[in-house]
Amino acid sequence: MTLWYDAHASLFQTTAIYVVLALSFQVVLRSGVFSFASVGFFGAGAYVSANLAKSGVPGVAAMIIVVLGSGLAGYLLSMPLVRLRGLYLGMVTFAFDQILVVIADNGGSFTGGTVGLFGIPLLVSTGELFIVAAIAVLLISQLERRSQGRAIETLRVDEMLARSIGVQVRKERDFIFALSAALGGLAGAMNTLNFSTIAPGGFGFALIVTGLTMAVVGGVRSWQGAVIGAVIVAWFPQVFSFVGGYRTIVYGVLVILVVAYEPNGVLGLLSRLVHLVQRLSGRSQAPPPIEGAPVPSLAGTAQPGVRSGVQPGVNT
Amino acid sequence: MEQVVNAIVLGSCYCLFAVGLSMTWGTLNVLNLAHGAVFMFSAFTCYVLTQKVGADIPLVGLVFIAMAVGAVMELALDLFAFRPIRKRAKTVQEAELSMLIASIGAAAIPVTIAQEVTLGSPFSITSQAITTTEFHIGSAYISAIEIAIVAVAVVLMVCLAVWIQRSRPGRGLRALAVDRETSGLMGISEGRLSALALVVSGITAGAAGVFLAVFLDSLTASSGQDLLLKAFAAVVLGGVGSIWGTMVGAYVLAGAETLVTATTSGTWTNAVSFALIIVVLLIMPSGLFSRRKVDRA
Repeated sequence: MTLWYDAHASLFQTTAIYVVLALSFQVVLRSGVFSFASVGFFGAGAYVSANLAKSGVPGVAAMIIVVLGSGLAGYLLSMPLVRLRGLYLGMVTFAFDQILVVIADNGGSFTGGTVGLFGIPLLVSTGELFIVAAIAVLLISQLERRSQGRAIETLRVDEMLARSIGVQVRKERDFIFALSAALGGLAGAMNTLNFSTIAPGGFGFALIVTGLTMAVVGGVRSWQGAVIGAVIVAWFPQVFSFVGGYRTIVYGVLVILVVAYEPNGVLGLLSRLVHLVQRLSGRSQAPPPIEGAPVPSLAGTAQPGVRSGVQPGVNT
Repeated sequence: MEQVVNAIVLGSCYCLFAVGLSMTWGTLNVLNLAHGAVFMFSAFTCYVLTQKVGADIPLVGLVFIAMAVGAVMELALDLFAFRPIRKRAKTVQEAELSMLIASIGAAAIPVTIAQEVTLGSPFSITSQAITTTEFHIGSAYISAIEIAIVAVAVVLMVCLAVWIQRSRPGRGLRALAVDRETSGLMGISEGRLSALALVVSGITAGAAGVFLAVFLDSLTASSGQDLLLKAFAAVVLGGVGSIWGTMVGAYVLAGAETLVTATTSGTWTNAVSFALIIVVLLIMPSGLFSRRKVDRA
């Protein structure tokens, strides 16, 4: 067991980092804010933490600085973008990511130019990575359960409706941006402090595809989707090693399939499956979840609901 | 003077590429992030044909091959990704975002293939530099190929603009942009027009691919992504959906980039388009030439 673990240690580390990055994507997508800025903050967090580590700041302190810094930066970024929606927002944040790549290319000794930085002190252990990821998961899952989290979800369903029932759209959006940026930056810092290297190619288009794959394949409705997606994407190269360098193709195909046929991702598939099993076993007569309606968690849909006197097998 | 010629040729290529993006976005609400991959892959197909297979095809033939490849790819994208999404999406916003995500996924496929075949190194369509007659106007040299690129690009653009403005499918597309439900009731088939519009945008992307590969003499697997952002800048500057606006935007961008490349080190060139996108969207989100309402709260 320990031998197997040692051989796969880097996969476990990648999983922890991907979970945080996937959460960063999922948080914004869940609220219907279409932003790719997570990847830009991943890069920024990576470079800042690399330089902090080189100047002797301990790992945990570096991560805290990155989280606070990128959270603040995300908040500030949200302000000028407040009027943009949908495709325009997606495009601006895409441009933001690419600008950061250009800046990293030209950044002198702070970024190491096109070669990047390497030999950064390894300041976090695998255990610490998992603790950090677990804290992130805990915070996001708690947020989703609270009223604020539910208010945020209404933004995706209908922004006008959200406004009319007293959700402060602008405030919540700023908050989501800051939260997503903090998570993105944190993932970048974890990545650098664990793998001791960062280069401009490390947070380009490929990372956008990866991040989006994790969030979309898992399902953007809930933190569970992000975790499932992160695990799938992190372990995919190991399990399907024969695909080799072509694995991005498989991600691409997966994303298309999911978006076109099962928009709620693996999570949606699971909750449908649970429902099917319940229907077949005749335990529940609850109607299947209405698509488009908020499904807060898998556990929520798995509850069989009230047993009524209707005979099993009756079509609902 | 040399720089002006460069800017005009570059602008023509940008223009050809950007116009497809602008058309699908303006009429179908599809922000097609796979457009850059289509552009790259059609040039890449020509590279494989001429360099790997060793086929001896004249440049004109390559242009047609690239156009065909572009058209087929965009058609496949529409049939296998956009059509099912459009069918099941409940709201326009949902469809928009799903199609955007799907196009990113689709872009990953050709980019990865090219990346693995070329191993990330630049590729060019011809092994030796194409030699043609050169003319000089004043102090500038201009080759016959450059003239051909500009001429073909301008002719294609004008055809496209007229097509959108006058032809039956073109008017149908513009009707879809205004109100898709009403146009559906009037017998305009969104599915068919969407396939048609994507094929047309694939043709222009393919042409742009060969032209730019010839003009710059090298592309990489990730060239499409860079170009995509330049095209965004041109589209946004000109106003989404406006063909003439996109043309102006493309030439302005090419001019600005040439200026930056000439005055600073080349590494900052890409930042021009990104900065342009952000500034334009924040200050005048509807662009220079668009009269249509922009999606703002």
